[in-house]
Amino acid sequence: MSSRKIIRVNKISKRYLIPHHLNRADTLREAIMQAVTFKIRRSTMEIFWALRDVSFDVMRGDRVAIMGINGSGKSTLLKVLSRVTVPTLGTARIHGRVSTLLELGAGFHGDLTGRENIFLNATLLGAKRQEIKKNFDQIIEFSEVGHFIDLPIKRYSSGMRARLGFAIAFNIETEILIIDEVLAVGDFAFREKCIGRIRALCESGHTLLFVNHGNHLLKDLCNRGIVLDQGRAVMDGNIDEALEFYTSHFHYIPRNLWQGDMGNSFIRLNLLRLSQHHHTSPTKKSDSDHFRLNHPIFLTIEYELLQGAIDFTIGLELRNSSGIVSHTIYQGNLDHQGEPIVARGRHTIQVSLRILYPPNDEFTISPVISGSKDGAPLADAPMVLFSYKHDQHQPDYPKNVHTAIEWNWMNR
Amino acid sequence: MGSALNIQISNRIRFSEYIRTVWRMRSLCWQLMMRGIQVRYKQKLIGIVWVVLEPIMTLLIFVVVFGILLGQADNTHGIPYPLFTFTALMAWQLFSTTISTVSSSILGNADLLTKLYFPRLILPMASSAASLVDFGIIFLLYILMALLYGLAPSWQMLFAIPLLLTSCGIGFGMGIIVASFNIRYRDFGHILPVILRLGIYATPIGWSTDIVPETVRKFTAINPITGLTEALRWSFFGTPFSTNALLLSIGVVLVVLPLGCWILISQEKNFADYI
Repeated sequence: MSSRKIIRVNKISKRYLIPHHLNRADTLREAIMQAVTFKIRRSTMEIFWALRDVSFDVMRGDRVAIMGINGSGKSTLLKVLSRVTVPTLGTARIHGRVSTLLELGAGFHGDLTGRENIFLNATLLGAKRQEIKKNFDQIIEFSEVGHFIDLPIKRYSSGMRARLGFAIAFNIETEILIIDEVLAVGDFAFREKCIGRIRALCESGHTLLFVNHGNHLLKDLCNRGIVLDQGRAVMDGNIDEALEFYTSHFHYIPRNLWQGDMGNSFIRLNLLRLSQHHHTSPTKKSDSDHFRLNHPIFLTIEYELLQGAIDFTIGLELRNSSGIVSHTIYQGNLDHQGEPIVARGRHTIQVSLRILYPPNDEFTISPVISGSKDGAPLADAPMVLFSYKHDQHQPDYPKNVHTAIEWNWMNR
Repeated sequence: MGSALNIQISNRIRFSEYIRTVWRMRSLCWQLMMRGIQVRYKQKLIGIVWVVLEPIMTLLIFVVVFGILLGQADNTHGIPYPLFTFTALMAWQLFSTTISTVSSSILGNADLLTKLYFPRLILPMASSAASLVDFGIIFLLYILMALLYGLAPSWQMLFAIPLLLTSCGIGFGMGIIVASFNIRYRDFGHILPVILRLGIYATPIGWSTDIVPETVRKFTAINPITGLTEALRWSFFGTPFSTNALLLSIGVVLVVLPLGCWILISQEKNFADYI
């Protein structure tokens, strides 16, 4: 019996139908006509394969990093394996108890106390009542929320909520841990504690499926890597090979230039470019991917507004190589006179960043767009990446010093 | 727990395995029910009062509008009008609260659906269980009122339990059908309150079916709650009831419960994608 194979994924494909409202009904009459003749609607469905024939086996105790650029199917794969969604084709077998951390604190209710929420959340993660009782004190201790445990969760800071979520997920019995990028939240010390906990669980024989954008962390925790590209598994090997493959094949996309078309029904992003020169010709593919300290970095964002007069903000998120958001910068949609940019059409904005106290590290910058029209921010916004190397004569900054940056929107 | 889990992931649904999973995760149902109940009483000074206030106000409206203004208080086979109305109101109240909480139970937990797996049938089960607890309080109030009116207990009254459960079952079955369709097309969530608002007057609650002309009576009998309200009055007061109407109610629950479960179980794989 192949009991060592804890997960067997056999030719899994997942299809999504994306409706395109090319002929959206503007009047009630049109809406009724479209409702009566289903054909019109169906013809505007785009078929999108988020996963295509993905097969792999996971041995008990494997720690698998799932890598891929945004939109490559990582999250869909984790969703299928945690049974949130079903595969269109193919099958998978899992021989063991799965704990999924696609989000922390699922089922938390603001009106209930931390203590009351522990039971429901742990039950949702598959824990039995006896087991929760047994590990209860351990969970409270791990969460570091102390006497706040008897306060309704709505009074918690987001950090406390996240800590409680982690504490529950890491202190219930499980065999397989599926972790999507949730580690990005929480403060540095607590995050280290969580990583330590994951490492301890792995050492005691747990199986791990892990998505994270921090290459160092993947190398540290995982022994195996699977690289996804456009829904297919293009690489499956040990972590060093997989990381090597991934960095050599995919970094060109999130390097310091991104061109494409991404967004929602009111804003489309077309270009992101990082440069240390104020003016670079758009055809020039890249500068060096190393940026010099104490010289400003310019980020250019080109976007198109599909509808005018929409209230929205462009922000930026700066992440270090461990995937932690070290800075969030808001309010970028103002022109040089400080008026909001609301006109339909193409716009370019530029921001200058001065990184003051960086460790030698890699950073990604991704735009965050939020607006009152469509509500939700773009989940899969493109990102650009750069490494920050100190000049030879610069002293080495202590490792845990937080990055400090200055920024200045230079809108035109 | 303890026994090795063997999870199959595919596009096919296995009903027997589904039911087994529901049983294995019964503690989740309990936890969700407790959450529903706890939340209802948090930050409220008089939580219980709010639970009984709605049926009491409805009862008052019936007493004033039907009993006094429309003069129905005499067509009750000699039963005190408030008691006569409250009896039938219980069947309706249980049906309508069940159908409305169940129908919103899945969409209302959208955040759970997109992040975690569990048999989705647990959501309507937990929310209807929570509303059953509320109903228990209303039922106690009814008993209190019946005692005040000097109603003598009899064995016949035990029939109230299966009758009320039938009412709950119809609400549950119809509720999960609405809940399943509501994921794709939100229209269903808007139609339901309208139907319920009409239904409360189309059901013999504040009036007796005797006042309805013979020709129209066929139409009032289409309402599956009609038979239950009459039979419930029979179990408490021995008033006559239509066997056909009651058989219809039983028939409806026998169809709608398995049908609803089947629709939900076969559709739930798509829920996370459509939400």
